[in-house]
Amino acid sequence: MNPDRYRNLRRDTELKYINVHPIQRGGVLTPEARKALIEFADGYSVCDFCFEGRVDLVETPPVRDFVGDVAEFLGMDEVRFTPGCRHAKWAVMSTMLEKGDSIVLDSLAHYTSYMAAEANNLEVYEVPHSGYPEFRINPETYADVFEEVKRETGEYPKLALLTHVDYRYGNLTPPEEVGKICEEYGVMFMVNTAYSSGLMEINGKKMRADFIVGSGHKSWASTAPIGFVATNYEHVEKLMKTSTIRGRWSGRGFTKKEIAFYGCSPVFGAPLITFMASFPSVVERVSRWEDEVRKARYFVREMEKIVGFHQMGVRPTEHTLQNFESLPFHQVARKHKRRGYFLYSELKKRGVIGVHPGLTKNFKINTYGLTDRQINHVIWAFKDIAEKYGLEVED
Amino acid sequence: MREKVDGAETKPARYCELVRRAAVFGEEFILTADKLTCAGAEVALGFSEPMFDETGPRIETGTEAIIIKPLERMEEEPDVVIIISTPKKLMKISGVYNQVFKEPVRSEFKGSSAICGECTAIPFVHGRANFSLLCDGCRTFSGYRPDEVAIGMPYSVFAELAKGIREDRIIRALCGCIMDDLPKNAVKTITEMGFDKATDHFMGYAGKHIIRMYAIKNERGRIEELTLYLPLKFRDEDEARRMYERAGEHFSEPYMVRLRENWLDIVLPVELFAPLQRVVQDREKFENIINSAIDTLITKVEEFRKKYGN
Repeated sequence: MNPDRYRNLRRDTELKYINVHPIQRGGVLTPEARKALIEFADGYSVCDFCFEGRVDLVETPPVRDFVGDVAEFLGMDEVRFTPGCRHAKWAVMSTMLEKGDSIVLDSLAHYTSYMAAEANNLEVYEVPHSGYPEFRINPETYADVFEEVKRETGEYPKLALLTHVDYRYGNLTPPEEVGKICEEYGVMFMVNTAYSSGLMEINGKKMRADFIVGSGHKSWASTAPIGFVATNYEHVEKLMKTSTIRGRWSGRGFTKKEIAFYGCSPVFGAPLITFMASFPSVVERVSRWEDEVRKARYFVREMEKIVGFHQMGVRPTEHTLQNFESLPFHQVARKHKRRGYFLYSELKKRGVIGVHPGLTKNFKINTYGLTDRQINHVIWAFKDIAEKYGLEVED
Repeated sequence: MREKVDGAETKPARYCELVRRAAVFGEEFILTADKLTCAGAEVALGFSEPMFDETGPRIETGTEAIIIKPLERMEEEPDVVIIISTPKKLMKISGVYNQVFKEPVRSEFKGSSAICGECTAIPFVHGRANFSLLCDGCRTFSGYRPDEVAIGMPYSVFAELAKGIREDRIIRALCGCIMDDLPKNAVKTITEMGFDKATDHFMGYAGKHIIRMYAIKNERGRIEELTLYLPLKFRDEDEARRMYERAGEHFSEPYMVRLRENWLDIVLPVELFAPLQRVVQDREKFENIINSAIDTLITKVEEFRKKYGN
């Protein structure tokens, strides 16, 4: 073992390069969060004035108020912070459902949606997508799958989960339509907003959502790991059930601790403080979402000038996350001594990182938060590489 | 390591014991004949001549010392890499081996001179990988567990295998998940036809055109239909819409035409009339079906372009 290797860890990414990593753009810290991070970097830094034994009840810094503000911002009644969106999904499934219950989710759901269901011994039914090239989720198909569940199990599912924006193609499925179907069927509705809340406006009431889950480090300019679950008053008691256990010998009890959140959610310190410090910017930035989409569409148009490039997913794109087919680059990679890694290297030479090393056939890119100038630079980098290797680029 | 090595520091031990200690505890050794306590290993590793004619696999006599170290601490490329692991893990390695070298691991083992002969001498002499179920010496004196087996291979083979494992990771989704349950024989056949497998579909060049292929699951979860796509790009959405209206006249059933912003997808479904995994078993027939469909699609698209000037 050589512990010295852990000294002087560095990451120059945001300083030296334009980062287009598909999962990192929405989590880039605001200057305010970066400043707060230094002050609150120590482990239990938000717990200096903890008098209630739960992080969501701390008043200095104002976590208690923040809980209410985030709930209001999402159009919901109550919020709890979790170590990531995945834990939020697990918390809902573990408290609201029984072993063997059925849930319905979209077939583009994140793997952690499946894991949360598996960990809670639930039966998973999938809503198919439309296949190549759009991979669209049709909200009406939820009703078909509900009926399928009824035919197979004798009852409708207990919960439906919709991935508002999927991580593979950046498709946006309207939650309102799924929410309406869920309401008609009496099925609880959870919306995974890992790629939407914090970037665009979200209103849980309009969505008819019972639960909104999201990711601070993906989309709220926060340090990982932090996410949240938001719900309405009718589910608060069950989701946020407090502990009743007593130590048989010691007599100890933990009546303020909420079971599904490990008593006190382990986000105290850097994750929570950056989440809070970025919140004013987040509240403001969601109103600029249309401009982000405008830039993303421009980006797609320009990238597709490299002949053979093709954006998959719904068109025109509705999100800043894109998945491109890039077979011409793959042809280059076959003959290049660095094989698939050539693209990563060539981009890095031009000041762009975030395309996964080794990928050339198809890859994802996220332009969220980039300026027009930065986007033009990324476009130039791709076109320049294409021209270097003799690929056709339209004017 | 054929060159002379000075400063042997190893206490007397069996070769197989030192190999396991290097693998498990990260220890390093320089083994010379005078420190070797196993006569079989002495012959197998080329430290001495055999006393009888009939011996197992052996390196020609002339070895002066052997450096035994964890691979990551080797300053130079070693002659042989030995992996000690469970049968399950070596099963996976044999799968990767087959993918990389397009042949199964061919092994010889007879329960004696295992680490020295089967895992060191055979790879060294014959330049190939060899599995071993180990020997009594390993299991009785050298601490090998009942659930351990081993494979030895030249470094060059190991390096290729390592690349193969990395490539496999890239082919799968980055999250490490399996993204579909397409029959393996179908994926193999389609990729051997010149298509590349992307996460959800196949794509490949047919002349200057890029053809995409997608496998559609029916309600019973079976794949009995493939769709071929040739998306056409237009200057803008208005032009694409105009061409979309014209495409309706040109492309009749079974073609489908879909407008997506400034693109028109020309889609040709290919009915297989049986599950995909069965159809690909008759490779020639399957290739004929697909190639003929591709030719038909391209011809039709070329006619459309000629007629309407795109």
